[in-house]
Amino acid sequence: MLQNILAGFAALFTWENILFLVFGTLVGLIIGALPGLTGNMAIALMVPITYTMSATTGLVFLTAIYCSSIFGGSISAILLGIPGTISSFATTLDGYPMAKQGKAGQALGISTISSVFGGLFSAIVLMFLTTVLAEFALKFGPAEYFAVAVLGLSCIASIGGKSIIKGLLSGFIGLFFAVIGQDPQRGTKRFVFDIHLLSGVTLVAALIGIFGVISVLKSAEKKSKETGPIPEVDHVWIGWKMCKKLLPTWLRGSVIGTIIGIIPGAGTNVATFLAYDTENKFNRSKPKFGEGNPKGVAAPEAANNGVTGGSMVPLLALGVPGNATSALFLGALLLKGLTTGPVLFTEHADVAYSLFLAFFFANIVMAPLGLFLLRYMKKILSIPESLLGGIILAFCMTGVFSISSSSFDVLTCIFFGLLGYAFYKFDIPTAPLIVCLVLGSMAESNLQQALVANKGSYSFLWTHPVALIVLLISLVSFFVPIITKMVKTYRKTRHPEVVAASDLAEDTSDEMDDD
Amino acid sequence: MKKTLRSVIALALAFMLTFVMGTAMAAFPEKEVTIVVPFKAGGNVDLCCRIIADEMTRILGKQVVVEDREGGGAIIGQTYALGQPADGYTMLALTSSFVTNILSGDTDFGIEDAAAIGQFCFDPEIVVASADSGITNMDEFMAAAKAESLTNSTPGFSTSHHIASLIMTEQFGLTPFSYMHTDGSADQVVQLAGGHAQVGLTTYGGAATLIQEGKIIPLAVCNSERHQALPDVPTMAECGYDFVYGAYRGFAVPAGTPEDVIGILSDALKQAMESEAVIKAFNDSGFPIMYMNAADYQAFLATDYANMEAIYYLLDEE
Repeated sequence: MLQNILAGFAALFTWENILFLVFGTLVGLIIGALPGLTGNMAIALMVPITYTMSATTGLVFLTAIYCSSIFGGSISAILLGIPGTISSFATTLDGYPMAKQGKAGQALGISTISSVFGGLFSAIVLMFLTTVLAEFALKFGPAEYFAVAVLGLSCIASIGGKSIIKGLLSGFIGLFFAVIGQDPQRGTKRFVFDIHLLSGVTLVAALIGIFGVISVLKSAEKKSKETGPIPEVDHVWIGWKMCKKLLPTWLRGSVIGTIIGIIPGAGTNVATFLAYDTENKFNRSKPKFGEGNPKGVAAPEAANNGVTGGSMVPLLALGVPGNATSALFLGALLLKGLTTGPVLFTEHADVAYSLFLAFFFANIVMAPLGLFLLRYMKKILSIPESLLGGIILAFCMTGVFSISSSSFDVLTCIFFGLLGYAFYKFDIPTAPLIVCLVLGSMAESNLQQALVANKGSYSFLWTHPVALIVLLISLVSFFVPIITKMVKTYRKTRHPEVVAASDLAEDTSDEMDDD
Repeated sequence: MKKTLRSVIALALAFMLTFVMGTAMAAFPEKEVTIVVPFKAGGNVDLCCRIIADEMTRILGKQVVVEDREGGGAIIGQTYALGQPADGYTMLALTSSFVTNILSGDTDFGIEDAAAIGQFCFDPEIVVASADSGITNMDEFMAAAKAESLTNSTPGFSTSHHIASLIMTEQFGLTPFSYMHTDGSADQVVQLAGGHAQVGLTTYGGAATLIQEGKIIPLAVCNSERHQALPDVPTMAECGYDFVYGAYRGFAVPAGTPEDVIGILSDALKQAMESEAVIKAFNDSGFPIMYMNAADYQAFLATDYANMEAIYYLLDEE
């Protein structure tokens, strides 16, 4: 093992590799930060460039882009309130409120350190546990995937805002949009009025519409009335005290991210929803989640970078890509004449271990580079909102168009922007809609597959232990916040003064707890 | 002396001839040529096209670029490419989905709207079983598939793997499979390797590692010859079943493109497929090369269309 690691080091540390590590990190950061442009796209474009490189250099380059683009997505999520990719959607929920409160620097700092933590955690898991964990990936059948999707969906209860009804309404509208397209099992066309809808609503276009278009509309609305002060931006470095406070959040986020990453096809998005929701449920500190809690940024960012290493586990051990990005890595490996599986570790140990180390060092390079660049990037906020709006809109539309050079995607984006604006006007939360839109088809397709495998019987819900446990957790995760909310409303109407007093006590104890 | 003079003249003539032919050829292409891939970047078709584009750039002397226009079950990219001017500057990466899409009735184009350039790859279907299924050879497969409805994992509804299974069911009188349509070939092989589905049809590339690991058992290759990566696995014919099916990949241009332009592109494709770089990259990636010229590929498409038309009702019955 040690010998292999040393061989990996030897293969990794050449001038060329280090150059491409830094260059890749920069490319990933910038691509990730632009709404609509994803790391996936960047890697797909770069794969042909790696033909001429040595296997190690090529993989180092792609790894650097992969890791940093996931982190880059959080930059626009925090500064502009627009998730650059779906995986940074959860970061928007608390990152953007923090930026508006003048804590943009702090939020960016947290996102940087959390990403690095999650990335390093998963790199270590990848390096030492790949062969052990690969078997775990195969245990997931349709029943288990369905359970995981339901668990993801259950978070709508706690991110649904104050009103249960409005939260559920938003969720169901999201599920409706998830139904559009071809039925995954029967091929029946559902609500396909245009051929572009055959494979469903383009998620990224919808997401950018809801967050991008609406943020421009909101600021335009405000501008006509008043000129808001330019938010202050503090330091990017968050201090050791904050690090210590966030450590448990990072650990939980990284573990969730890495595990979900290992399950092929489960996806980065589920990991971020789950990590965010878990922290939300365990959180006792103020401000509340959704109002700018640092943990709300730390959890999803640790999780989505945790996915990076995790997604490589089934790829390297079994030749099965864990997500779309690792599928591109598979292509790059194959083109170099390298096969995946145990053979890679024995016959090409230097390449395998230099890939592990590349994951490790890509995350390390990301910290100083990220913190350095962000000192300048946060200045975006000093641009007056009235000017920024137009620029954002132009960026969003360009980004959406670039997904597949389709003007229909641009229309989708505008449609969801207007829908989001209507939601905003009626004070309906948009987060449940996004969660349901992203997870709806995964839940549906796997439920149908599980039914086929079980000859039409629902018995798999209790005969598969993993599925059963996950589904039970989902039930708890869904109903506890709803019941708590109902109890609170009930108490408020019955004994307003008692509740107010206890709320106050809670507040003060939290303040003390904080510092 | 005379002899030398004659050979000098002959040489000069030969030179001039190549020069004249060269300039005539240089008329096309005058600018970059685009290959439209109607699938996701990084997928198998995209990967093949990028390897070929690289080599064709060298051969044609003008940039050949790949553009991915995914979505709508490949209809969006296909419609776009076939709607471009018929001048040879836009080629479509044409796969079996072209034929099935037309039959689905969702397309504005028909089989006559595409003029073939040539085929470069034929990836035969391989009949596989999960190691947990207890099926280890083709006879056991047929016996089991006739006796009961086996669970069959596919990478999606109406993909070539799904259609191959349907044709097989029809041809050999099997009990219809219980299909589990997953989201892509990566999901498909995981379901098989994990024992969540019993059997499936797949192409070699995506399942290679799991086959070597013994988690997925290859039973037979649906081709006239054995697969070079699986020399011990018999063909369907060797097992006593006449069945050839696979995913094919080639290029086409909008109908009405001048014959000489089609000729130039077709020759360039042939040269590319014979080049060392492409052969190596295809072998390394597990894509079997099978070149077919424009006329042959056009005829092949027509046959495939007729065959598919005859069995398309099976999909509707699903």
